[in-house]
Amino acid sequence: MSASKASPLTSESGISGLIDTLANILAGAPLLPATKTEILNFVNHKSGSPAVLDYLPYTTPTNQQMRDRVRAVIHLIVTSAEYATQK
Amino acid sequence: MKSDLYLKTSRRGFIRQAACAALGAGAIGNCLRDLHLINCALAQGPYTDYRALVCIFLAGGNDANNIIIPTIASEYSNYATIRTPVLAIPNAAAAFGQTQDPTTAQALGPLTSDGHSYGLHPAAAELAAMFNNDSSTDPNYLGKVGILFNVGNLVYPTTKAQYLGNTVAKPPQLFSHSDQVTQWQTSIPDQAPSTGWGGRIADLVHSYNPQTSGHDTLSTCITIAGANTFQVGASVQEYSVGTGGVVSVASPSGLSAAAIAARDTAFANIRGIDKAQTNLFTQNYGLALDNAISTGSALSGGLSNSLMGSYWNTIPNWSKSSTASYQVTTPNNGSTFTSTLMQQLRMVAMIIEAGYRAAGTNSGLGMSRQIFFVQVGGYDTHTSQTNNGGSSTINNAAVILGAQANLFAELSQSIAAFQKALKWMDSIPAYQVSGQTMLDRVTCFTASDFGRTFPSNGLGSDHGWGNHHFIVGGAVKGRKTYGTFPTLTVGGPDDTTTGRWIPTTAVDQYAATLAKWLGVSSGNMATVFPNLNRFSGSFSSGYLGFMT
Repeated sequence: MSASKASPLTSESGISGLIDTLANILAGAPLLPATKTEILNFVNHKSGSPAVLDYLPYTTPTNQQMRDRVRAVIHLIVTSAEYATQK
Repeated sequence: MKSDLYLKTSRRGFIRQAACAALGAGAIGNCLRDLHLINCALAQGPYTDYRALVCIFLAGGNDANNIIIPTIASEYSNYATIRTPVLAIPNAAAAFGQTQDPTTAQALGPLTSDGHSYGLHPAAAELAAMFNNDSSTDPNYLGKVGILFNVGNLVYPTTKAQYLGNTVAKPPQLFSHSDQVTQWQTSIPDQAPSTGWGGRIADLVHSYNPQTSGHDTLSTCITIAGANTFQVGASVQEYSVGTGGVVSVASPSGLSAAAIAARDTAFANIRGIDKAQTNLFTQNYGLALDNAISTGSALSGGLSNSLMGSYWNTIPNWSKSSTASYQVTTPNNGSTFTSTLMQQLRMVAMIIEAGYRAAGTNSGLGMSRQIFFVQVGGYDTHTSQTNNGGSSTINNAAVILGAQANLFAELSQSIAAFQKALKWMDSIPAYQVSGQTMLDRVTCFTASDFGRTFPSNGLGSDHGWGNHHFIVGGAVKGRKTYGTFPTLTVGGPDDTTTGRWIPTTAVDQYAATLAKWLGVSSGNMATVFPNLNRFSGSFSSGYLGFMT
């Protein structure tokens, strides 16, 4: 998925949809709500989260930052049990 | 439906490979595959010493017909008649005890084992020197070497008549790489593979290694060569490391330290969520990941606090910082190449040092028993086995050059370097125990898919069956050969018909001899080797008898 195609999903409001989309592609189903929340908290802008250092600005992310968001979501999905267990 | 099934199957295969590769934890995939959460440590130990086995797997099927050469004139004649001109290594020019000619077989010391005499391929000069020097007080002593003849996968003892008459069960898919590798590593050719014999030994002994939070601090089985069948147990799973050490869960590039810490927190929290699920696969995946990360942390600590750090960093050809590291000098005009086997054995030596180090001493792991697996490829020498292809010149010097010479040089020099590292460990006061050296505590042994055809196929040799192997270590009854050397005659009593030796010793016997030394009790031998009672040998006699 190119950064430009992912653009609507990599804005701050789109992260939730990005996680769902990638979960469907990689894990074949939505993630557990708790797991999704963990990923969302890491990738999305949360006050006080160190992740903010890497993923700001959220309203107008650069292509690099959009790619970083996609990579971060993929990283946490493929290291989860939901990715490894067949549904 | 078909496409759905295809998608699911593909994804699962991809997951297994990706997870193991990305996390360096073959344990994860295997845990999911087996989920045999049993613990069958019965009547083992406790052990008062440290011992380790190192399996050196020569992938592709080693042509050991050319690493061990009969040197009695009449027997060499049989060898040379069939192997000339492409493959025949020149006979030992000098007798044992005299200066050896580097262009001929290297004479092995006088043997009382079977009344014959042998030489090793000239590229294996270090192994020949180790075989010949079995005096532990000699300054050049690097452990003892035993040679086991014509060992291979067998369902039952098999004679030529039985083989030809199909009157005894044979290992299925003989001469096939993948099948024979699997059978070699399970030692149960007549059953579907589920566990390897190294893993089954580990199932019995692992509880005598340290535990952390209910799991093994470090798996008894360590592979430097990726996932393998040999080390798959019912409860113990292999832990995979690279030649550079522990393979960690990598962070996406470009993250700050703070973001990496946040990633680790998210990662840990997700594992916590997974472990709390009722789905056993999900639950165990989270647990296996937790254990793998904990193991990696413990091993990293052990490796980075070595008591002989300067050795690993400064010894010529072993230092990661040197551009000339891990070089094998070949007989091919002295050219060199970088050896993957040497790198793997260096990491094994480093883990042995960390494993043997007492818990509480410099992050030592306090292990009691360890089983290692390393592997090197290139042994499927159908072509270019020597540089003598196409020549009609008898004993042309080119026959000692070529791909096989490089392989044997790598094997010989890598084992010698490994043994030197073990010997050096004895200079560390914390590792000294009266009456035993590190060389005594570690035993290496070779294994391979199969042997190769005795006649040349024109430029090399084809897939065979029985093969010769080396056992190296201070606890080996060295300077001896074991088993029976095959009659080197095509169509002879040991030949299937095309120069493939019917094994006269089973992998089970070879493995049981090593297992007993490692500490498997008499009562558990049938658990580890269910077919062992079909073959000769006894626990009390040490089976093949090559270990003290």
